[in-house]
Amino acid sequence: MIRSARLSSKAFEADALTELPALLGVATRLTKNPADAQDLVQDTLLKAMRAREQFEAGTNLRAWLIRILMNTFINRYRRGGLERSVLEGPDADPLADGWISSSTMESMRDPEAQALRPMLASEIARALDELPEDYRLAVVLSDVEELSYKEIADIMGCPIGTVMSRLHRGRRLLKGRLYEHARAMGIVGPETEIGPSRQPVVDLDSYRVKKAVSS
Amino acid sequence: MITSCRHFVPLLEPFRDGELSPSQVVEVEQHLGECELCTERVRLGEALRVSLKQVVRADAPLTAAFQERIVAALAAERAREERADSGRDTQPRMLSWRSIVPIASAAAVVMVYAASAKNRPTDVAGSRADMYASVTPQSVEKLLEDLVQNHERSAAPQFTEQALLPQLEPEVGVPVRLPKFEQYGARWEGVSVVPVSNQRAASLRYRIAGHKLTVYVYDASRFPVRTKLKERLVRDEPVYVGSRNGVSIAATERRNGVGYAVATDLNNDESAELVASIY
Repeated sequence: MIRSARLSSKAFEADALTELPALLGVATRLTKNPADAQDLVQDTLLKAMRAREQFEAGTNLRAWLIRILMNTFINRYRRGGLERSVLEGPDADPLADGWISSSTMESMRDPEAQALRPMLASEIARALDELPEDYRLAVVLSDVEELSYKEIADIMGCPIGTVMSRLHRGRRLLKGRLYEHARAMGIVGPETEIGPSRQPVVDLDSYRVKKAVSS
Repeated sequence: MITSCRHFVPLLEPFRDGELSPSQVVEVEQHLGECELCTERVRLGEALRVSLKQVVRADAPLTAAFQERIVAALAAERAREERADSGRDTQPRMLSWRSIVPIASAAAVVMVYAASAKNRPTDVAGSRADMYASVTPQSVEKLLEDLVQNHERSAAPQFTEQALLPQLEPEVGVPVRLPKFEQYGARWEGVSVVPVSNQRAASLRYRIAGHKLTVYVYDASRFPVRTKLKERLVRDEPVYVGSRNGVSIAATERRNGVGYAVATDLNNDESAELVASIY
């Protein structure tokens, strides 16, 4: 009896330790303070260890641990829950980021590193931390921790549709911010300089004109 | 082009996130083969994802010191569990609870100090586990009995001024703060310091919808009540719940070493909820 409990706690511990980078990454983004983030991760793992019988084998341990981490964070730092964004609501226009042309998007990327150009990448941390908290969390849980929409919905306590909308808005704000930075750094030119021979720009105005004509 | 992009753009993120059905994936891939703009949207999204990963990991470096701290904390927790288990399952040990109190108090002082520092030394956590090992099931039972008896007694409180609470700290060994029970419609009636086993705890009296409610505040390292109560999670916080003599007891331990226990004639779920709300 005791022996099996010890074995399972050891096995649990070994699995949980592999999630340390993920937990610390999320905690750092939430607390914005390395010392608080470390405390938060330690509390999370101790709680998880005590509650490990409630973990359903075969489900995603990372998602389960992050859910405990979120609850701990909200209890300790945010008694009222996450800071909600004022921008909630249905997303009016799916083409809202259509104003960036494909050539501009292309010049924001670094084809060799498969990532953004290094000058932009350094801007990401700031842009990420300036996002509304629930957008930031959705983006980190999806893009960095690779959780599913369902897992993120469970962690954030909201419907899947809300997760999708937060993700979309968060990513769009990030891209917009990086585009502005790219403009300021001279990495990309203003959209109007792109000649007609290039990929046509799908901008909101032309979209609205077309819509008005067709209706 | 625009018409089809309008259809596909909302699918591009779920596509990248692996949330589309196989048939939708085929549809999107077909569109990407024809549309440079959407292809570039996906590529930029992927580039953003790679950079986000790099940034988030770089800003939260996993140091060897932190890893060691976590491993030690988990090991101490495991040791505590094992000893709590053997305390439950085996006959009383050589050391009685009373005889280790001086050691426990000394350790408790270190505990409180350590809890206030950012990095909790692991040997302290270990000594706490050792302390728990010396507790007998009988001594803990006595502790619980005392909590219940004091709850049932209806002596007038020593005082009712909240401003005097800080004066209890030297007697109880931990800061005494009033839990916020207003949301449950509870009314505070006063506080006393009461002997429990041979320890001292602050006993806060409340009245909640006609029920009597006692909240004990104590040095958690000296009150191993959790070893005789059943663990459950309330909003992912562990609380320890049980009934003695028709009185429901729920206890919790906070990170700063302060223990709280409620004794009520409400049911166990309600006691657990009350104690979990204390922070």
